Amino acid sequence: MCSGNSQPQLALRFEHLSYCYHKSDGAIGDFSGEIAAGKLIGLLGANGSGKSTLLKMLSGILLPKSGQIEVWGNTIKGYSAKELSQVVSYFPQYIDQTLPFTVEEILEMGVQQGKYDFDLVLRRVGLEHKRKRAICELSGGEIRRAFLAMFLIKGTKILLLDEPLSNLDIKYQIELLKILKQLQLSVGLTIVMAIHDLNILGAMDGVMLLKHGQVLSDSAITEKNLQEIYHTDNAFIITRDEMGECWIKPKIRD
Amino acid sequence: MFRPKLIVIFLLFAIVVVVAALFCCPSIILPWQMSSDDAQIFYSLRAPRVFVAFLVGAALATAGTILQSILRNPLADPFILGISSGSALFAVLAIYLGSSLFGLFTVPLFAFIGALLVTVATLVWGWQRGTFWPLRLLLSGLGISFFLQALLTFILNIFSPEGLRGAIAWLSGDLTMVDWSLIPYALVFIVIGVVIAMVRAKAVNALMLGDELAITLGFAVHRERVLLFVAMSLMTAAAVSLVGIVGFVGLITPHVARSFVGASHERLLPIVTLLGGVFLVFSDMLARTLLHPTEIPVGVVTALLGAPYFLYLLRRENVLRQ
Repeated sequence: MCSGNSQPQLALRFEHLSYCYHKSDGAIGDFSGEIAAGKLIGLLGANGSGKSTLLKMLSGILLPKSGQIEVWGNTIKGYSAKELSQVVSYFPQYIDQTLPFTVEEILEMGVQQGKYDFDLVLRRVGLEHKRKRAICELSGGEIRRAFLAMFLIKGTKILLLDEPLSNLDIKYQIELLKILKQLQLSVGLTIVMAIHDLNILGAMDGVMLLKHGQVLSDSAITEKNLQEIYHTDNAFIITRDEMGECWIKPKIRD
Repeated sequence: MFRPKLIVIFLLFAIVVVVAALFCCPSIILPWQMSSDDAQIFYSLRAPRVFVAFLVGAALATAGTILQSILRNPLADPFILGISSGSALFAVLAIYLGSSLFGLFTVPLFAFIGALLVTVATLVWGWQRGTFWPLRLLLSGLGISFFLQALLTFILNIFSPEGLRGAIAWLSGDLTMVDWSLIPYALVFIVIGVVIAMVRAKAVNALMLGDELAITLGFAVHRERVLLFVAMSLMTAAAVSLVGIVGFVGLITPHVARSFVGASHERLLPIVTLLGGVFLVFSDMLARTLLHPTEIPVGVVTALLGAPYFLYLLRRENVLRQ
C-alpha cells in the first residue's frame, strides 16, 4: 500500500454506503462519515439503526451495495483480504462460548509469521493465568479479552467492536473498557464501538450518532439528538463535570 | 489441551493393532517362518486388506473432522449426513450401468459426484433463515440417507447377481468386496483430500470461529468452504467406492483425537487420520476374528462400537442449542 506505515489523519472515511440484505427489501442506509485515527469513538443508535451493518461494511465482512470506503487512507477495494485483515478488525457481538480451543490456540490463529510473545499480550489483557484454559471454561468477559489478544497479535490498526459490553457485569465492563482505553493510548489503536449503555459515554473521545441508516451530521450529545436517535420524546438530563465527562440520565419520573 | 502421554500410548496401541492385524488374526503367521501357503495368504489377502482398512478409516475420519468443524456441529459425519449413501448409490449406478467413461476412475468419480450432490442437498435442506440449524441439518441428512439407501437396495435387488446380499455388503461396509484394481485410484482421491485438509488446517480453525471472525482473520470463507467440501467428498467417495458405507468412523474418531491433542487442526488432523486408520484396522480385525470362520461386515463392528459413543455424545454435547 502506498501510504505505508505513516499514520494518516483519518482511519476511516465512508460516503453514501448502503447495504442490501434481501433483494425484495431494497438497499438500506446512506452512511457517510469519518473516524479520526487514534480515537476511541462510540457508535450510538437505536436497535435497527444500522450499527452492526455499518461496522461490518467498514471491516469488509459485508459488501456495500453502493458507496465508498477509505481505510487508512486507501480505498478498501485496493486491499487484498489478508492485507485488510492486518489493518481493520471486526469484533462480533456474539462469539461461540462453547469453542473447544484453548486461549493459546486462539492466540496462535492470530500469528501471521514467526514467533510471538504470548505472555506479553496476555498480560496486556489480564489473562496471563488462563493461557492453557479452554474458551468454554472462561467467562464472557474473559472470552472477549482472549479474542482481543488475538487481534493484537494479528496486528490491527482499527478495531471495530459490536456491542462488546453487552451481557457483561459492570466489573467486566469496566475491565474491558480500561483495557481498550489502554490499548488506544499504548498501541495507538483506533477503536469504534457500538454501545447502548449511555453511562459509558464518558470514556469515549467522541460519538457518532446513527438514525435510520444515516449518520447525524451533528454528533453533539444533546437532549434533542438523543431524543431523535432513540425515537422518544422522553426528557434526558445531561450534566458535565469539571473534567468534561458527561453524564446522561433519562428522566423517568414526572 | 496437548497430552503427550496419551499420544505415546496411542502410538504404541496403533503399532500393536497393526502388527496383530497383520500377523495374528485369525491365524498366526510368523514373518520369519512363512510357508508358501502362509506367504500367499499374507501377501495377497491379509496385507492388502489391512492396507485398505487403514486407508478407508483414515479417509472417513479426516472427512468427518472437516465436516464437524466447518458445520460447527459435533455430530456431523459423512454417514449421518447421507453423503456416504449418495456416494454408494452413484458408485453402484456406475458399476451396474456398466459405464467406463473414465476407465477405472469411473466408480470413484461417480461416487464423488454423488457425495457432492448430497452435500449440497443436505446443506440446502438444513439451511434456514441465514444459518445451519444443527438439529435440522442432522435430520435432513438422515432423511436423505434413508431415501438413498432404499433406492440403493432397490437397484441392487434388480441388477446385482447377489441380490439382497450385495445390498447388505454396500450398506454395511464389507472389506471382502474390495475390487483390488480400484485401490490406486481411490488412493489418489484420498491423498488429494488429506493434503487439502492439512494444508488448509488454519482455515478450518478460522471457520470454526464463525464467518465474521474468519473474514477478519483474512480468510475467503466461501472459497475455503467449497475447497474443504470438495476434499471431504473426495475422501468419502474413495472410501465408499472401496468398501461401501461404513458408519461412525468419521463421527467418533475426531472426538477421541481432540482429547489427545486439542482442537487446533494443525495438530488434530495428522492424529485423526492415523487414528481413523487404526480404528478401522482394529474393527476389521474383530470382524474377521470374532466369529471365525464367518466374517461380520466391518460396518456392523464400527456401528457396535460407535453407536453407543454417539448416544453418549448426544448427552454430553449440547448440539440442540439453537
